[in-house]
Amino acid sequence: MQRKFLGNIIRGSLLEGLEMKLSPDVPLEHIKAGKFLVVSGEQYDFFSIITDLRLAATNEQMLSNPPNFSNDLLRAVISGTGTYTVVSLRPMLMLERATEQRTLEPVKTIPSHFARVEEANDDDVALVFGSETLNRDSDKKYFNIGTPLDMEQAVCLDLKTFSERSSAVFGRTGTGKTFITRLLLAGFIHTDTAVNLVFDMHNEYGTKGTFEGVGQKSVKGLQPLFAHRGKVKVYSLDKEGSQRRGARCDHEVRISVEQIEPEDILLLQEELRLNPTAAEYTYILKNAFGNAWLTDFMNLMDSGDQAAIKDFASSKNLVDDSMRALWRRLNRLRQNCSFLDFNPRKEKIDVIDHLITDLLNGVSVVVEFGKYDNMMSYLLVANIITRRVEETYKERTDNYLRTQNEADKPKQLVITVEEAHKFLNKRAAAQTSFGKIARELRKYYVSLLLVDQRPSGIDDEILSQIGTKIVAALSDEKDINAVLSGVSNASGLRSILASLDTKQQALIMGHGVPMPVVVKTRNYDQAFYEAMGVFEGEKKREKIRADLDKAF
Amino acid sequence: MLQLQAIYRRLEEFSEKVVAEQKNLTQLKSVLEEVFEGSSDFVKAWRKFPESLESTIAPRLIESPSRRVPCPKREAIFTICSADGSQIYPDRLLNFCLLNFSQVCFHIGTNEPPLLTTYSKLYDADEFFKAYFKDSKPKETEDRGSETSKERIAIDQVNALRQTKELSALLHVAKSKRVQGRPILAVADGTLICWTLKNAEVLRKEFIEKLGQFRQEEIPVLAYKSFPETRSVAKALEHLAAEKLEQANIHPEMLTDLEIFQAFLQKGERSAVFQSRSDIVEKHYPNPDKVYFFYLHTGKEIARIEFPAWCYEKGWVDFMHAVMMDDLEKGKGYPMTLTEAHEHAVVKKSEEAQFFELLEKLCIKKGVLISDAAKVASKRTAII
Amino acid sequence: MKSETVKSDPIGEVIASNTTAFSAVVRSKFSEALPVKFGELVKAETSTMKIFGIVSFIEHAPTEPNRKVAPHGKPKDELKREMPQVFELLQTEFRALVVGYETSLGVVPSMPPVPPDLHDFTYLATDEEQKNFFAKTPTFLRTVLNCRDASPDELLVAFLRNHLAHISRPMLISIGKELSYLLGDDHRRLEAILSRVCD
Repeated sequence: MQRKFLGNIIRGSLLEGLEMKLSPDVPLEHIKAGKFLVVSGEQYDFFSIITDLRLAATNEQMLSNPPNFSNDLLRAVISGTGTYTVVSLRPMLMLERATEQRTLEPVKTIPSHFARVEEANDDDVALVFGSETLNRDSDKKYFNIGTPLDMEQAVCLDLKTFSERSSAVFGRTGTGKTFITRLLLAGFIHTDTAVNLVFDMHNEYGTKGTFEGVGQKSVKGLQPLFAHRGKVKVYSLDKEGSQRRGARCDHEVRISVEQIEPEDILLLQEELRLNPTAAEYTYILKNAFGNAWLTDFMNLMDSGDQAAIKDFASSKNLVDDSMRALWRRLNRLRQNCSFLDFNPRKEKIDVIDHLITDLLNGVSVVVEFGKYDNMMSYLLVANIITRRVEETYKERTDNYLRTQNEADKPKQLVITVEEAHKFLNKRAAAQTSFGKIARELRKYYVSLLLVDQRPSGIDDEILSQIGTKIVAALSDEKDINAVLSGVSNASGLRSILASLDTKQQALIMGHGVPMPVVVKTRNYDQAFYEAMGVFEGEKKREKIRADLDKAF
Repeated sequence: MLQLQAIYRRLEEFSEKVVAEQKNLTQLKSVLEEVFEGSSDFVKAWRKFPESLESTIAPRLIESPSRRVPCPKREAIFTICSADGSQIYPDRLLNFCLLNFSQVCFHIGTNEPPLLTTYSKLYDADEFFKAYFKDSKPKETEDRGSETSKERIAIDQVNALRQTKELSALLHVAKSKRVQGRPILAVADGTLICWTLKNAEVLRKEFIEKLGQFRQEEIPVLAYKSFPETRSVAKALEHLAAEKLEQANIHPEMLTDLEIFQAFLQKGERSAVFQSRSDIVEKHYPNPDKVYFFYLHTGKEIARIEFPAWCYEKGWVDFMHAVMMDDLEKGKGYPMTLTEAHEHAVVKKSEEAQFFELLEKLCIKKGVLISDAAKVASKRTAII
Repeated sequence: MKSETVKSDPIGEVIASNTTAFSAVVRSKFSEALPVKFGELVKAETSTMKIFGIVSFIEHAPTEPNRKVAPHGKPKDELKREMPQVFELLQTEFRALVVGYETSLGVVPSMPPVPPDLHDFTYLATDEEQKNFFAKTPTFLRTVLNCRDASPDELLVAFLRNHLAHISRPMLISIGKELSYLLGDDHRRLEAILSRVCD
């Protein structure tokens, strides 16, 4: 397939990238930052992306004294000679043309002067980013995530590689983070790459998602797509709410207060406006009361028995007023989070056990928060569940390492968490399970999929652990810097980031793709549902007929 | 540098003299008007006078000398033709001469193309002497160096030959280009009186014969003489009106025809027609071809226009007058047709050089070196 | 009645030539319409090749260098009737800058190996020849820019305008670009030329 000629390399360095003089025949405004190009060197094809565009003139005089551009001929003549466009490229991969084996290598050299630069074609995209058809013949888990700018060929993520390490979807509000995330989750389930635990604060993943475009109001969530295959269960904190939205709630989440550890309270320090003393008290209370520390403490304070409270305070060297302050704060917790069971009884089934069992059975779980879409509930529940999941996976992995039995190998788990910076800011990252997972749980088959609009709020160390970043448009300079920290050629990618559309466009970089690429994300529509194996109406009947035919 | 201050005084004196002469001319005009008056004694005397005075060449009166004819209206369409010639003279080394003739013919008032041609002819000097001058061998008269006089005579003879051949060329072009029903005029340069052919009988006969052929063909022919030095009318005045002139402080023996008619005529006017009493005409020209002439004020000068008597008799004078004035205007003072004939006839210096170079080359081819010839050397382009 | 010059008629005869230029005297009478224009592609046909030139100079002059042309104050048609020799003594001569030649092998945009012979006839280039000529690299630009007979810019403008019908748009642009290089980024000059080629 013939590639379209765009220009010739005129300058470059391995360190700073290449510069191409744009051929005057190519309309400048068709060339956009992030475009995928191929530079044909003597031996290698260099797969590159456009990082910058610059107008240049051979003669400064002309710029201060512009020619009469109402004359078409003059404009055509001057463009490309007197004035021209320099396009900065960043070569990302190189491919030796002569060899049979089409292996992509990191860039170790640069093409010579005047090497031809061409638009990448579908074959190139497929070569670099793989294709879903390869999944049949190998253990690769390619998943179509979208298309490069102005192209039709799908860019595929290797979800296997992608899920092995923590990843992130960044982008400011309204840039389609949720859509991308939902795509990825569907991909994990569809390709059976990983089992998911989704903390769905705003009820976007389980049943249906809000559609921000024109036309339909909502899109299908994971349950309608995969529940019929037993792949997805919805756990809800607000059963009635979920049902009102038309969801099938597999389990109602009730969390026994005994599950709450002092760290969980510490995580809420900001939300409950706890002072450091109060936070410290929780540990003392835990020591004093044991597992039921929160219930006991609340009961004690609720009783209003001033003498008993005083006794307890003095016995533990606690200040009476501080205890009262803590009580008042925790009262707010009790009021806000009514899913907390302050009267745990042994015979009650622990819903978290169910959840973990499901996960271990390969069933993805979406935890819907329903009306508890406040940060306090979200942090508390996500942290408690994650801690338990983390413990279980550690155990299982240790067991597997001992037995070396393939059957014991835990299935890769991806925990999707929104507002990630709340769990992974500098202070919290050290304490929460999320921090631990991000840092070290790769070897225990657990990774995170962070969804956040404020990447700058996330601890640098955590950020550097993220394997693959999918970045939609960001506006805050701090956020852009955070996303690009530790990325080579940050400056080139910065301009691409800045030029992203606010809808359906994202830069994918890191572990999951051989080279950074800007994609127009896949449409989340009927065609997608069908690709996921969900047919409706006439199509459904056709499918059934076809399946029946196959069966006989 | 011109020192105007130094000569200023003298210049002033001269200017006074010029003014005085001018005054004389005005006086001359009134004297002339008086004496030319048809009924005057002077005219009566003139009518008898030339015949009684054998030795002068004062012309006969054909018209009253008082006539001053303004320029008549020109024919709208007519043919005018002319011929001219030039030459390279023989010298002691080169015993031949070259004649170059032009013929021009314009069909005025039409879009017909003009004729502008030239042709050249070489004459062996000995042969043409034999043919034309056998009775009158050149005599080495003056002893200013034999070569000079010999060359001088050769020059005269070549000129005589040329004059005759020019008239033939003119006759030829006029005959060949005339259009039925359209007036034609043949214009020669100089004179119809073959002074130079006095001693060349063969040529003279040929000349007079050609002139006669114009009559037979009914082609009006004239000769145009610019700045004539003749004193024919002046002679008549000198003999018959000396007193009157002297009274007006004019010296009759100093007068020329040119001065007389400059005073007498206005621009475009011609004088009366006179008949030449030149020896050669009287002796050799047949009566219908006797030479008549008038003077013409061209605006810039006084010209003398000669033509055969028959042209006068046939009433061609007005036609000639009008056509010549028209031609003079077009030529800005000199007849356009004559200018054109001259331009085409003349052998330019560069052409003459080419001619000699060619000759030199041909001689060298045959093993003869003539490059030491002064003539050849002089025609060479100067090297810087 | 004047007849239009037929394309295949000779328009003149070579009276001076060298490898860079040739001069020809126009055949037609002075008073007729000139068969050749400034900046037009012409050719001199020798026995072996056609030599192309751009008319860079046209001069009306007396045939005799020593004669002077003077005003006569008459309308031209009257002048022709009354002083018919005047137009006989004038002639039109044009000079053409050699920009290429054509042999049986095709058009070569370079100097010909030999100049046109004296007295060869000259013709206007045919449509086909113009097309072939402009399909070659525009090496003529350099020749034209070095022209001393006329302002090179004027010559170029006239040349391109005369033959615009046979120059494709991409060709015109590539000519423009080549010109831009040759003018050393003197874009004012470039603009002055191009804006007059196409307006």
